Amino acid sequence: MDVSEYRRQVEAEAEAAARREPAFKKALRKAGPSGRAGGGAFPSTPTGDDDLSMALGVIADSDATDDAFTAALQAMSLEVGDHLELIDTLLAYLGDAGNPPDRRLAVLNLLQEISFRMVGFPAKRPEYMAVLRSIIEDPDRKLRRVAIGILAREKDDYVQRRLVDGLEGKSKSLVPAAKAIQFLAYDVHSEYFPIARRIVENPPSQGAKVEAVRLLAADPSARDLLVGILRDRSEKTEVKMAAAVALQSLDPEEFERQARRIVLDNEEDDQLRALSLNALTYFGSPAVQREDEELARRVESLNSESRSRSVKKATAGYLAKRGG
Amino acid sequence: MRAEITFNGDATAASRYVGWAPVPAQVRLSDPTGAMGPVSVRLRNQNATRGGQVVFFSALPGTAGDDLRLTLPPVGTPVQFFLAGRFQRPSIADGDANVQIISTANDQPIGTTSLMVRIRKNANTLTTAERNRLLAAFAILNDRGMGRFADFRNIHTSAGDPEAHQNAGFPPWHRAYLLDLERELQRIDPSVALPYWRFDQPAPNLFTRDFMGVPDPSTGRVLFGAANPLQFWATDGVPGIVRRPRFNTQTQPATSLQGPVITEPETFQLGLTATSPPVHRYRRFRRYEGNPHGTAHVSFTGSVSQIATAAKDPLFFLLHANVDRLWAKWQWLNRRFDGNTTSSFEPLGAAGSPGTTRVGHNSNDTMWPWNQVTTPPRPPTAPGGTMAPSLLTAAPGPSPTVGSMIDYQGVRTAASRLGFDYDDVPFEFPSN
Repeated sequence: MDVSEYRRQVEAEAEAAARREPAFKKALRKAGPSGRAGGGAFPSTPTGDDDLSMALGVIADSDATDDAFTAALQAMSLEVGDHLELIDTLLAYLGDAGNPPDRRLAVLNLLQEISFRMVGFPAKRPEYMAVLRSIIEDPDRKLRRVAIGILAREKDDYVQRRLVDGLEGKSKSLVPAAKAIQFLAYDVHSEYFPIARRIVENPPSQGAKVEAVRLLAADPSARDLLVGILRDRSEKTEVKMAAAVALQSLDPEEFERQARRIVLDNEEDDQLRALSLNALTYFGSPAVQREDEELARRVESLNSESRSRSVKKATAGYLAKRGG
Repeated sequence: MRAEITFNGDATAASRYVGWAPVPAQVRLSDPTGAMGPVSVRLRNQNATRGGQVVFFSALPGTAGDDLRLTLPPVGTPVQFFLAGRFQRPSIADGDANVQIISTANDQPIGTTSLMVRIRKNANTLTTAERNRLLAAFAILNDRGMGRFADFRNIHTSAGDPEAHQNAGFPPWHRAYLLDLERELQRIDPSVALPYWRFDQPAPNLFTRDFMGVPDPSTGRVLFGAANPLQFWATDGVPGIVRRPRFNTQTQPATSLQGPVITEPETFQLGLTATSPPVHRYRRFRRYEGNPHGTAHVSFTGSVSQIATAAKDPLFFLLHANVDRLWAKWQWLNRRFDGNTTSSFEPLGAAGSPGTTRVGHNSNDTMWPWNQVTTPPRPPTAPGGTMAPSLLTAAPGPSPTVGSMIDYQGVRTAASRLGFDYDDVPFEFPSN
């Protein structure tokens, strides 16, 4: 298409968008008259702006529909840049356990979005963190988990301690063990390694074991444990794959030896074999592999004979790289 | 008789990459055998139906042509012309655009040069080969958490937050960040261009095990296919990516709990002032840092939903390529490439001057970390060193300013060209 014609097309689309009333405005109008702000959790109306007034009215109205509530949050999202005090309003709503959990979760999601872009938000961060800490034991599982996740990604000491206590049985677990380990992995401390080892030895769930194995990629002394998992024929494939990835990160040379063994071993699982081949393709030592005729023959044979799509793909990738 | 073309003043294959913006090229007789005097030649695409396509200019600014007639001196002196990718006809493989040099005397080819029209594309539309090259380059850059990617992860953290967000420098800073990363990917595989996740449309081909992965239902751990090298992705010492969408990635655009991201045309409208008549201004447009940008981030749970951890996930870079594309397209649509006017960027000047804002967000400020400044209010460390250089352009230099990101195509000043383009954002001269 000619660039001039293309310009006309894009301009027409933009102009059409300008003529359309945003969906949230329609939803707000449908929700009813403005002027209900000032009640409930909203002590003040910070502006005379119609959209914002209506939005605050809708949010304070426990009978407002879900659509109206969502529209109100969209309006607040647009206005918050000029009204820092809206963050206080949102934090108050989030922290109030009397509000519906799904709406508190939506408010939290908006606060996350605001945290990405608002000049004034860093000044409010301590209050934000404090409200999040106050809801990590909220009865609502989803809300609790999102709050803990945000705090974990901010490397919050308090939530880290609570997660560790939960894993060690010192207090009630805030989240399932797998999620707890995953959250702790945002800021790995060496004190987590013995906990991860205990979970590997005595896992509360397979998911927890997988996450613990992954965490041990950061533990320099976990090499033998990971090799042991890889060699254990009774171990679940998912756990062995996590161990392979962890070992590859921790000790690439040892992993390369294990990967070779796995590819050559007729008894190994196809998924693990495919993963091992993929690792050798992208990260294996070219010099070692150039000399390894046994491995090359095995890969060629797998490529023609294996019925596993994963192995077929992985062998094709290996052969293409080696050929190249 | 033979003739050859060189690009960007460089004869090596490494220079044979173009976008939509015209670049200088030279053609000369490399073997004048048989030439009795000046030789008249015609440059054209070898195959007009297959592979990347180019257009030619005798001078800039000028009109693009499907072919170009030139006269070459018999002594081998190069003749300059300009060449660009033909809009909407990018390459899909390295060297799939072939420029043929035809002797007009006998209509016979006397030389062919292969190049790539290398363009940032919609990730949902990549060919399997394009996708696999991208993933391989990403995986190698990450190198199980021990590679150069660690610098990019360490740049985009809470410490770097004030340099990159919540202010006027948000779009330019992220443009520089993506450019630096893309240049590093291209060191690994020069045929790679960073694709974008067009988050206001469903992207079923992106959220698959063979591309950006799909989440484990119970833990949100992203699962990859057997041949996907991202399964070895690691950051901060721990392998894996955690990301769970709040929307149906196969059928919906990015959707947070406040609803979907605003559409592309709606995003462009953010730039309009409330004046009569309304005018498109950068100061208004950069509100897109909220919706769609922030909304796209929080349409997931997991690391990409938060500034401190977002760059742990390779999807982050595809998301931000789209954020940058939206700015680029708004710039093109409204001709906002003049870094000396507030309609294109604001605040102008350097921090400390009247009307300016925090250092790092004014047009004349250098940007952290590429400036390597670690004294307050800059962060205490500056990971990654200076901006990666390019064989294709000297811009933006090792320590880019905010303003150096504005005329990214070299629309107003050819030397400002940064060397990337988007598949749906053409190049136009200012007079058009």
